[in-house]
Amino acid sequence: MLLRRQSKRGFHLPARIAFLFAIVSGSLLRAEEFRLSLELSQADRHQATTNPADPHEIKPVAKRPTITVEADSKLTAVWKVTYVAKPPMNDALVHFYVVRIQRPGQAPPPLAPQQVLLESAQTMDFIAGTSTDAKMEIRPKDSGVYLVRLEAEGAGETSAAEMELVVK
Amino acid sequence: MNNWSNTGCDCAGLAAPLAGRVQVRSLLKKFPKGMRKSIASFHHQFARRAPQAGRLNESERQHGLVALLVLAITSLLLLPSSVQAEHFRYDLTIDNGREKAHGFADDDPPAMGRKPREVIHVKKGEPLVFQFFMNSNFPHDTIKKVGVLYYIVPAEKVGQTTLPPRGDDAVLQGHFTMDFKPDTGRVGVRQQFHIDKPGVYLARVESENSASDHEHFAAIDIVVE
Repeated sequence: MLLRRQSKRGFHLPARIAFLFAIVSGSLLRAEEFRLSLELSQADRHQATTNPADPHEIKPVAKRPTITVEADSKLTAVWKVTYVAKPPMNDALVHFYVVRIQRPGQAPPPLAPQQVLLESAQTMDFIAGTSTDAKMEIRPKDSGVYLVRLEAEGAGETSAAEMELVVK
Repeated sequence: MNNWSNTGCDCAGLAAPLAGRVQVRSLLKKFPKGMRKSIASFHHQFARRAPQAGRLNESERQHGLVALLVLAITSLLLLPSSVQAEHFRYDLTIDNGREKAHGFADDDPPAMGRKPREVIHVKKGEPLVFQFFMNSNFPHDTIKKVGVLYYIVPAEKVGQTTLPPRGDDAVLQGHFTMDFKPDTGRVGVRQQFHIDKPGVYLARVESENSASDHEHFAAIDIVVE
């Protein structure tokens, strides 16, 4: 009865299936827009991470990779963002920051300028295989916990790779 | 222009709009000094004679027209080179909380450019903020795989005309590799830092491999007391 009523409105079952398929395939495409890699190193210490292949993967934030260093030591952050989807992406935003947080596992806080040790942002077009990378030095003076996060913002979906920096 | 607010990005310091800070270059500054003088005297001559403009004789009119023609041709000849020279726009700042020094675009070679640099005096160990924005100003095409290099390194003196080496004693440094699309291609960095050792330092951001016979940079001298 219901199906017959919808058919009268032109909403056929094949159209519904096609619509659902488009949503599912669309979300799968978005899942593979960017590959992110992030590394932090200081002397012989090294920590690396990547973004999850599926951005919808539920990952407890308490399990971020962590690197511990002494205050005022010089660290090097290296990251790379590679676009792996097929449709070209215009004016995508790549955002990287190191921000002080209250405790390990805390969700990304609002970026108050005085809490942000380092921040970079860039916009560029991506086609499949295009990449951008950076290498930056930081020297945290104050002890505490910092969130180091790399984001690539595509068509409605943000890919992110993150770790924590503990300064003692 | 250097505002990421349209992307919905929660960019802390980088989201601050730079209204009024956009570098405005006077075309007059591009002319050689001698030519600037003659242009000025040319204008001055007409300004003085303006009330009596109706009384100009034929010879004066012809001289004026010739001068105007020479000026127009010279402008046309110089215009392409001045446009070509501007592949990137920069806004570099060092902020000590009391004052802010700015660095704007210059050309390399010569390695240290031709324009004087602003100088900022700071105290050793005090918190400082280094920030720059670099935009593509090349109207024709995307410039691919451009290197963006920034650093703060010790220098010998204020206004130094040779490029100081970049070694392990760099206060901070970083490097990007990215494509710059006309108008919207841009990168920005904001970083807190401090300098413990008194002396003179050079803060600089520069382009690398920009598919040109010259590169661009912006720089500021820092004097740590």
